[in-house]
Amino acid sequence: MTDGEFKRIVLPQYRQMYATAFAILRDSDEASDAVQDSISALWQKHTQMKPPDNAQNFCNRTIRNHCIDRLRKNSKQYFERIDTLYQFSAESNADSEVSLNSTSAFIMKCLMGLNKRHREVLTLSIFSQLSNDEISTATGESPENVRVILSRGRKTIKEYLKNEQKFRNK
Amino acid sequence: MNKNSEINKLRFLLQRYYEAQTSPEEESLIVSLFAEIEIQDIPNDLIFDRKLFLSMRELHPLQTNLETPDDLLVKINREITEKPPIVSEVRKKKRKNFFIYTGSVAAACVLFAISVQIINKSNIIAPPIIDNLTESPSVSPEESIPKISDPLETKSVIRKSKENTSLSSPPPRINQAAAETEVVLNEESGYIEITDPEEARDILVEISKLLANNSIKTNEATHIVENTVNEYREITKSILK
Repeated sequence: MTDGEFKRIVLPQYRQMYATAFAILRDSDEASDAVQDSISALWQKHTQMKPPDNAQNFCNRTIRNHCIDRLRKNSKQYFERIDTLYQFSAESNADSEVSLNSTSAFIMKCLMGLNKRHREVLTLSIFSQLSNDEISTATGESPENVRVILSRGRKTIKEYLKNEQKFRNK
Repeated sequence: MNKNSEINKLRFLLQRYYEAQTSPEEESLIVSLFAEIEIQDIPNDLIFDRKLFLSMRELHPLQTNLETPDDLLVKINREITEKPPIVSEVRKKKRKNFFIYTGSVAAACVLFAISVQIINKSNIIAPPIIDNLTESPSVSPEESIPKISDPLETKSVIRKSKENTSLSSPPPRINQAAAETEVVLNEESGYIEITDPEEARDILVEISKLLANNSIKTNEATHIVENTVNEYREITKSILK
């Protein structure tokens, strides 16, 4: 790929890449850094690559893999960020950044009640919408473990929600 | 009918969801199906699932309304101009050379193995020779070939002096021509007596023929090996050029 092709095909995808990075990392600065690092890495190797057939899919896949690598190396900051972002919302604080309906707040409370390992897996699934394989890469858990944790966690949350609704109705 | 098929699809996807077998795209499809179908059309057993999915949608930001930072493109352009792309031609050349060298060494090994096989085959084709002519360095050449001074002698014995032989060596083998003659075993010395001088002469002639054949075949094998080594050298030179 020539310099001109790179600037014409890859660079314009930066907005979509930022949106994908933000959806996963849930922080503006982190997402900007991820996009810069990804595009810089692509630029370094662009002479060895052919122009992609579908630039959007290619860039999307690149930024997703980069974000998952960042999560794998530095997951503590990510989970602290999620906890801080939604903890106030779960406690129905009017000054919180995000205001949630009662069910969303209830889901947050359910997640807070889980052990650390289960909470991390479910958080990545709910908040960053990662696939099972991506969660496995980010957390270091085996794909089978991830599947079991997600299955149990989702059924548990549904049961809690049903019980909470019954309690309210009473 | 359309609504029924959508409900059936929903049930199928939800079953996969709670078994953690859905992809993010399928989960998004569940959310969009719940959003499209009117709440009065949702079966009672799926009401909680609807509530759950529509609430979880809140926890994930909508990408369409997201604003990209204004200075992001400026930062990206600065990164690109400051860091030139990696030149990988040196790496490619090194990889190419590695494959060439590996290939040439593999070819040389194969040629060497073939030549060894040819040499082995040439040794097998040559019939065995009488051991006392080759395996007794201490025996002098004169003693190894029996002297037939008088061809009409009734007895001629192929004998080695006990002083010069190593008795640990096995008794001499006799080729087929000698085996057909009348032989007398000398049990004490372990040697076989050939009584007929003409037969003994024939045996000696056969032996010399066999020796000549063997030396020819050895020369041929040596030539083959030399040719193989020369070819290997030429291949290596041409590749290096």
